[in-house]
Amino acid sequence: MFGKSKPKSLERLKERYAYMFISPWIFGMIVFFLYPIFHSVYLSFSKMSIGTEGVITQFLGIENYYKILVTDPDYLDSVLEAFKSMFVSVPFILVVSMVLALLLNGSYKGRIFYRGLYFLPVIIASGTVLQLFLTAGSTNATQAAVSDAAGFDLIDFDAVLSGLNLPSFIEDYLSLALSEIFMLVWQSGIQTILIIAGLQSIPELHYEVARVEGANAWETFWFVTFPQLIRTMVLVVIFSIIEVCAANTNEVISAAYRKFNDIEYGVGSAMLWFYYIFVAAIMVIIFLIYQKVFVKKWGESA
Amino acid sequence: MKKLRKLLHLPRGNEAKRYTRNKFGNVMYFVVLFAAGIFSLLPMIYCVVTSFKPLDELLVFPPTLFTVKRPTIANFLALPDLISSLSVPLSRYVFNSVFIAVVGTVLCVLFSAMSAFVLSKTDIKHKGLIFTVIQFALLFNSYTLAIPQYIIYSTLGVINTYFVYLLPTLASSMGVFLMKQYMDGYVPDALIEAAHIDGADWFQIFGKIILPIIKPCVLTLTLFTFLGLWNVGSAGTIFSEQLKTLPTVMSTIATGGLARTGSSMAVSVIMMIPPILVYLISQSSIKETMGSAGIKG
Repeated sequence: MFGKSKPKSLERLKERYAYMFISPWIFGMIVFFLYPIFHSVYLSFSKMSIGTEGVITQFLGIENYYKILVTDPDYLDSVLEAFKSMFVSVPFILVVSMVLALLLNGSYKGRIFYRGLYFLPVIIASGTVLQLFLTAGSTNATQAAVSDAAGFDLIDFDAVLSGLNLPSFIEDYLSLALSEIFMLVWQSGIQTILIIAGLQSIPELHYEVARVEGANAWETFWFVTFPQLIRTMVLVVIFSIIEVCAANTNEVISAAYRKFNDIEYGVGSAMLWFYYIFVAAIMVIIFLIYQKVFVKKWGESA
Repeated sequence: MKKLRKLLHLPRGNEAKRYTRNKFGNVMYFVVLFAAGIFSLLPMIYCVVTSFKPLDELLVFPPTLFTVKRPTIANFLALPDLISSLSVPLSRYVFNSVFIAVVGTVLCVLFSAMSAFVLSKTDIKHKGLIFTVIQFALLFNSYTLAIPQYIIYSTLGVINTYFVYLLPTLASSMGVFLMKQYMDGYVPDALIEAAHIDGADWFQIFGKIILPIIKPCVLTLTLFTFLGLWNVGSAGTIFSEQLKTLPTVMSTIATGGLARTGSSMAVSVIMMIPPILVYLISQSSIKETMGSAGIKG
């Protein structure tokens, strides 16, 4: 009824402007991402050399992959190492950033100041500063000095852990996470901000109803906050995996960079592509879990 | 839960308090916040302390990270000297950095919001495919694509221009992903229909309805993009010193070796100020958002 009285229906508007709105981005995506991606896949199957006529690429087939998987003794180890550190870091980052975000989301004086405090490591880490920080002396000496300054070594964590009689794999996990705790907390800044943005979008009303209904803080979290935050959490999980997997300090990435520097661009690309296939598989699994389990369960509320 | 949801349509009360905590809880709250805060402050303290260290203390082994015995501002005073040896005045680098960060951020946020709007609220063809590409694109960091991208830049003839910095912001996968997820969740279709019935055209719907609702997301993305662009280096695509950015200056100073550690820390302390300002501005206005209060029950 209303649609007819208007000169253009909403559908017509959408048809007309949708492509206009998305075309700059699609152009950018094709030119600066998709084409380079395919070029890089092609390079992983070929040999690049710099001759008198500029760059020469020569198609090799799967030779580069054969080289890294069979000839190179270190590559597969570094892939395993990278995934191990991912499974340690990502859950830890999630928990830390979730706890921090929940703490920081309250309304109290100095809220912005505290949030700023937690975001500082992100600002620093994105510059060259962290590089300098980590290379100031050997990394171990730095870590030791940091723990010393933070009063962290007052507690012997390994002794505490073995005293708890936990299953050995949990114990291993915790001691591995604790050894990297500084890096992990400093990496949680962006995730904390993302979760805060998600928390801010939950209407106050829902909390009020929960309060009227007599829900305690724990129930409020699980029945109000968590279902509405699940969308943000998927984003945060993906972001964390990428942060850990594509970081320059990652074993596989740094091995590939060394190859790039030796102008062995083909071998380096092959190293990255083989690794990315597995990372992409993990992300696909996470999306499937999200779609199948969470969207079904919380449907409309998520 | 069902009962809860039914009750969600209750009129809003005056109190904004979420749930009460006892006194002990309040104390614990701030103790934890404070302890974790100090913890994340450590790298910052390290930078500031190091920038005030005299040369002999910088070279101590094992390194003393958070203490300085004889603080000195020599590192900061040495900066004008170090900078005057550059062939281009410092103000030019500052202009480049600010220009690129501001223009790039505006472009990136605007195009991301526009594309996310289309992906989230219309049924254009190949929507699923586009979204898959975005998720895939999230995986790649710029280094992987450096050589193919260089070839593209040189084909387009934009090597050694500002476009090298600005063009990649057109294709921000993180931005579109973030905004699409946000719009799916918090912008109801009914709101767009209502605006249309009230006579709003496409641009009004986008500018006056969508953008205000996604403000928390816009501000967050602004922060991330600014941070990224503020730290962007030229990586072999900019040759003219006139067009280089502040991080280049910083790494020029830092490559002076161990003796320059103090001065490079002094530069990084100065470099940190703009992102912190952007952070403060963006985060302080997030609270005043409409949230998903666009539609009232």
